[in-house]
Amino acid sequence: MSLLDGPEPVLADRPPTAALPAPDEPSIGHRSPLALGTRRYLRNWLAVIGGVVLIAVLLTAFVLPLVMHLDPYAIDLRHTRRPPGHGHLLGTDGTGRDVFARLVYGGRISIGVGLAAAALAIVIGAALGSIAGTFGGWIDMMIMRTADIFLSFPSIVVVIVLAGIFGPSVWMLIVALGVFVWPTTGRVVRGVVITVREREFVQAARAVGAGRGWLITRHLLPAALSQIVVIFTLTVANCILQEAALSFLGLGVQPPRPSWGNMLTSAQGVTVISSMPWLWLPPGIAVALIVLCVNFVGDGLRDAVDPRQQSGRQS
Amino acid sequence: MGAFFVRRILTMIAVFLLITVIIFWLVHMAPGDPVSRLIPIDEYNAGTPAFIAQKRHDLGLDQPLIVQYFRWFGNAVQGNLGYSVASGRPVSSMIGERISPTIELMGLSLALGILIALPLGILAAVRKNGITDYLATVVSLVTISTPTFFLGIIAIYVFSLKLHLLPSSGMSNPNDGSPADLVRHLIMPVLILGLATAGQLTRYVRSSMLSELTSEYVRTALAKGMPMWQVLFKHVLRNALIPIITVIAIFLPGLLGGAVVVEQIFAWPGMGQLAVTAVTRQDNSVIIAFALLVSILVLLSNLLADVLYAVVDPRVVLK
Amino acid sequence: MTSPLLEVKDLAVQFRTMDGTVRAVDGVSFTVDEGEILGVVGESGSGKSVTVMSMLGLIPQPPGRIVGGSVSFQGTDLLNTSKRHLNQVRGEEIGMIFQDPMTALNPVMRIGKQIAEAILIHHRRTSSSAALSRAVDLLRLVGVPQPESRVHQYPHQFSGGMRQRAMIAMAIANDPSLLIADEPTTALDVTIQAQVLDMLRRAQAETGAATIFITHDLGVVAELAERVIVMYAGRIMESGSVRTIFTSPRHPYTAGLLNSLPSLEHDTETLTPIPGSPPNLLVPTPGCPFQPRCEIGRDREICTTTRPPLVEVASGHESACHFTEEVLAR
Repeated sequence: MSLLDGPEPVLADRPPTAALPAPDEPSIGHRSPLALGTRRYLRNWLAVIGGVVLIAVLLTAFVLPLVMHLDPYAIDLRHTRRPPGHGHLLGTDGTGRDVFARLVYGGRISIGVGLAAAALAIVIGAALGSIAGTFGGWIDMMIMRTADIFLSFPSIVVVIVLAGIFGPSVWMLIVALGVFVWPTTGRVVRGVVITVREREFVQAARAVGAGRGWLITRHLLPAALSQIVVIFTLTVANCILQEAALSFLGLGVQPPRPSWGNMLTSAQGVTVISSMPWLWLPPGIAVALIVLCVNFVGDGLRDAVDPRQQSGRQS
Repeated sequence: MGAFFVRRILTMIAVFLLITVIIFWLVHMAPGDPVSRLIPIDEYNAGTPAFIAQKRHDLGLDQPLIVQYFRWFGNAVQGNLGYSVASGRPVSSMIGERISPTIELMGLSLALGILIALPLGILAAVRKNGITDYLATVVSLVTISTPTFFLGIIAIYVFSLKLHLLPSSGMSNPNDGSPADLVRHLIMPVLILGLATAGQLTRYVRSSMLSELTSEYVRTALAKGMPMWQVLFKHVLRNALIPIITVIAIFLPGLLGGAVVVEQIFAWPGMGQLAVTAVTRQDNSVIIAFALLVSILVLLSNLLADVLYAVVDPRVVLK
Repeated sequence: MTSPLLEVKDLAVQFRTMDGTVRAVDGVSFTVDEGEILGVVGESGSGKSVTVMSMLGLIPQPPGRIVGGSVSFQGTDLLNTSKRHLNQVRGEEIGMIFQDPMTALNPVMRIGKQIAEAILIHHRRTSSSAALSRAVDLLRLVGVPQPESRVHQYPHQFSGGMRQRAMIAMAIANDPSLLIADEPTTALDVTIQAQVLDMLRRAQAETGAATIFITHDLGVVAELAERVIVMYAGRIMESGSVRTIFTSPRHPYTAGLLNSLPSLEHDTETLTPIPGSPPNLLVPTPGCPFQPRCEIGRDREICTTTRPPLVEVASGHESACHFTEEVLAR
């Protein structure tokens, strides 16, 4: 969002004033940043609900199969395209596989891909962002320019090209997503590095003899961590969405492996859309729901971390 | 000012060349016989091994990579992008007939998106934490979070299949083709892509407005005796739009990504659908051409963003 | 005696915050006569800015709230008047100069246009070119060099001092009868401060406008103002003529401020600040807000239980202290 950062107001050095003693900050109460942040987060009820639903979905996707017997691959050609009922909670698909089972396992994969891609993006972004922030100068400029370009390439296009040339695969999907989503993290980390670098207490610490490593662990990481958590959450939401679109187009997770995206591929036919809603409603709603929740949580985290964010309560 | 642009354009060209090198290298790594991509497919299929070997020589495929690159690049610049492996037709003409539907879709969706996002974002910011704000935030969050294709499917379900109001696919009815028919086919794709665009833009508009609304100059203007609504339009909005314009320019490639999906759902005969089909058929020549076009779009939109920002914001000092 | 230009009575403004309600202005009353220069002195948080901002209705109403009092300007209570009248007064009868001209001016609008705007708002029939040429004249008046070309420039192309001059030009554009300057030199270099103050004084002399000058700098007040009020914790502690206040203050806070000034005449080894820290405005005391830091009131019970009223201790000199005689003695 650096496009929305205005220029810094220029203040001349404040002159020493003749009159008044320097006041100490009146103490309002001792609260740690973590407590303050948690309190702010909990006051955002959308974020709280989002968090709860998110946990529920995660539990369903990852824990339920351990408890319930679900087989997303079992083909049953005698019962294809059946509506919900008769032992199939959400009906069956074109080859008789249980839609519910595919939904749950598809969740694992879709969420997993999202997490992996986001993690990759974070690692690349944090690394490049801190390099850019620390060294400044033309290294900074090069990295940021590259970031801009990466950022504007829509991942769909990239995956189309790669999938077209090499054939679609999940790993390529993860790498492609991660590699094209890192700029957001990069920019945030760079911003933190620059801010921390120029804060007076860093100079003060340096003057007392603190080394680079100490500075990084004690000052840089904590400041950056909260921001990174926020960005990570929002990136995961974005990656899940992208995976869904790409798998839908046939460029991502390939059947028979289930993914919420590729479960919707069959819904390109008019017959399926009109008469078999159990095939496309559940995965679509699932994606929308989880991305919505992750977005709520991410926004809530962002507001909790920095209430001065001028985008307001939710955005 | 002029020196700045010259430098930017040169950088852009340099980056573009770099991208073409990458694309070329990717292509070289691709499976399949390159000759099949460069001559019409029936010729290839009918040709004897000697014929193909001769072609390989003619096309310079036995030359060092650098030479091949320049040859390929030279051809591309002249408009010869090879032949589609799947259909045998020259890629350039395939693209030619598909580009305007995509531009039409993107353009109209962008317009719709802006038309929705601007007033909504402004109102949401001005009446912060009110009903409008709440609604705008929820609507934009929902449209951002719901996959575009899912919205499309729902729209088809509701408007085509249940209400029988709108056609579910294609650009026009072959038997009809009247303006009304074209419009009816346009409505859903543009609506869906426009909504998705609006969802993203609304947050930016709101955010930018909020940022400007808390500025000190608002108070100064009020202190001069200006009524609030005038302050909004003459000061706040003008300032808030500056970053928005840049955002829109940067957004263009993303819009193309959305168009790819929408074209697929609605069988809209544009570039996106062409590219996706090409993947299924492993039609590399089409994919390469697509990659080149998208790269150009990305670079141009970045340049446009820089230009607009410099033009619109007098604080920007061009070095 | 003509009636005062501005009469503020018992103004009270509160702010609702996450931790409670802050009483930023807690019963402030003062008057300003025509052509008079009034200095308002206080530390950060004393309520001086909030006072003048709420006079013009420029306090954001959530989280702020004007909970009482009246502001009588030219006969009308500004707190209870129509929006239309308020807009008429703002910029036309009352001109404001803000602290930081870089943020107070619209950074993407030309300076000339912003000054001309001040004129056009109140004189709609004026053509924009006429307004712009008046802007040039005003810039010349406030000492901006090459005003004809400068008028087309943007704020970031002006230096800090020039920006403040432009703000002054904007404030006097419509010949107001009252000028309010809210810490106009705080954000400037010391060397530029003197120039801007000088300009302010001349602007005031030219227009004959009354001026309210807010600052935390006693030196500036001494130079510029005729009368001064000293604020602390949202209340007025002392008010009177500059000479009287500076030579014989009748309030411990004022005395403390003056005492903490380093002297040019004597050699001082140590500075004597006022001990303690500013009050927590979330927790109002029934007594005097200065009591915890006051030499005189520290052990006096009345200072903790009863709020000292602002009473006249000499002609034109008021103080809010239970023990004004003692202050005089020390």
